[in-house]
Amino acid sequence: MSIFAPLARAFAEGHARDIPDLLSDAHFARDGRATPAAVLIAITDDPHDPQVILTQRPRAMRDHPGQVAFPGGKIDPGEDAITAALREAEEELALPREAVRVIGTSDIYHTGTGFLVTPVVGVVPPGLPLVPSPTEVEAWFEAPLALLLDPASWSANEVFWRGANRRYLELDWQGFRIWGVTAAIIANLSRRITLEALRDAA
Amino acid sequence: MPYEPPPHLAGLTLAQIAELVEQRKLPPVETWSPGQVGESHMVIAADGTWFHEGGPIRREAMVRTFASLLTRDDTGQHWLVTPYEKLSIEVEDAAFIATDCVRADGALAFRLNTDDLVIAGPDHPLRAAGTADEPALYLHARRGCAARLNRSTWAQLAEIALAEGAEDNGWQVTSQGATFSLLP
Repeated sequence: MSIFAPLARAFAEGHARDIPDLLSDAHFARDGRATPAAVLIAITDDPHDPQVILTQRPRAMRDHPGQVAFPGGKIDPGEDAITAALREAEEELALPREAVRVIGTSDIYHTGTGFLVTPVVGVVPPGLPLVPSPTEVEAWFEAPLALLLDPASWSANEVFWRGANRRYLELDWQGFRIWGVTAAIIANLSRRITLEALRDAA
Repeated sequence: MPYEPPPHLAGLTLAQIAELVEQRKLPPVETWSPGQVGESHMVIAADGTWFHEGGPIRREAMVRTFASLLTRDDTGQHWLVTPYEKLSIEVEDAAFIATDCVRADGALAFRLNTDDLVIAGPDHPLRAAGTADEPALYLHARRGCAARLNRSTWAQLAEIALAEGAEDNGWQVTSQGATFSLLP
């Protein structure tokens, strides 16, 4: 029993309608830089309790140091978002692209630091012995998809940044703090795949 | 979860090795019945190197991930299995290479090229094939897949056997209560 078909159905139904008020930080990206990037939202194929694979970036990294993130990065010339996301996951976690069954791409998220991030949603076998690449990933962990898609899991906080109050979402999962870009991408995905749709799919 | 390879076998007690074996998480391949069948275009060469479409896979971490999805069916065909498809993979000799061997208490423990640890016994028998001049020793690793002992590991095992009276007992070794012949 694979979660792929029901999840793909929920994904397609969730993306069939317009949602005008998705989160975006485009108004903070003041220098006009807009670099295409892609992340992989890898969901483990466990129909009872699917997990999402997340990484923690090394503290020494230039972009988003120490943050919890999906595997991913810039889209190289000639690549599409799916290719880039799968390549980055392979580089960062030794997650073979052959092991990922892609469902599709979700809404592009414009980060305040000037990235246009395309989330790529895919299903992977559970229990893979993934190994982080030390220069790019400090640690990896799984968080339950149902927890992430539940708006009640998140607390909204505010910070004064670049001359304005900025709201962001935050979730502490087993000592890992999920916030910022990753939280916003999850929040947008939860508008497309609601907790109810996930429960129907599982 | 940063990756830490298991420590060297020498110096570990059987209980410590058994605990490391227990800790090793593997995807629950047995619980999946994928509907699609395909070809992986991958080969595991006799020396244990993995190839994909002719090019070697140089990252050990990638090989370990693929190896966690590996099974062999009753006809001897090896497969890479995911919940939705299984891909055939060609194995020239054995899927794994055993690269180290120690006697730990009443057991023989082996380390594989994928950093897996295997304790020989009723569930992980040793099998001698080949000829008397060129014996080939295989250890059942998991899910029908075997590990061939490389030359140095075979020599380590032979030394253990010799020290335990192999010349008088017909080259037999015991591990976890099971007895195995080292002669083909």
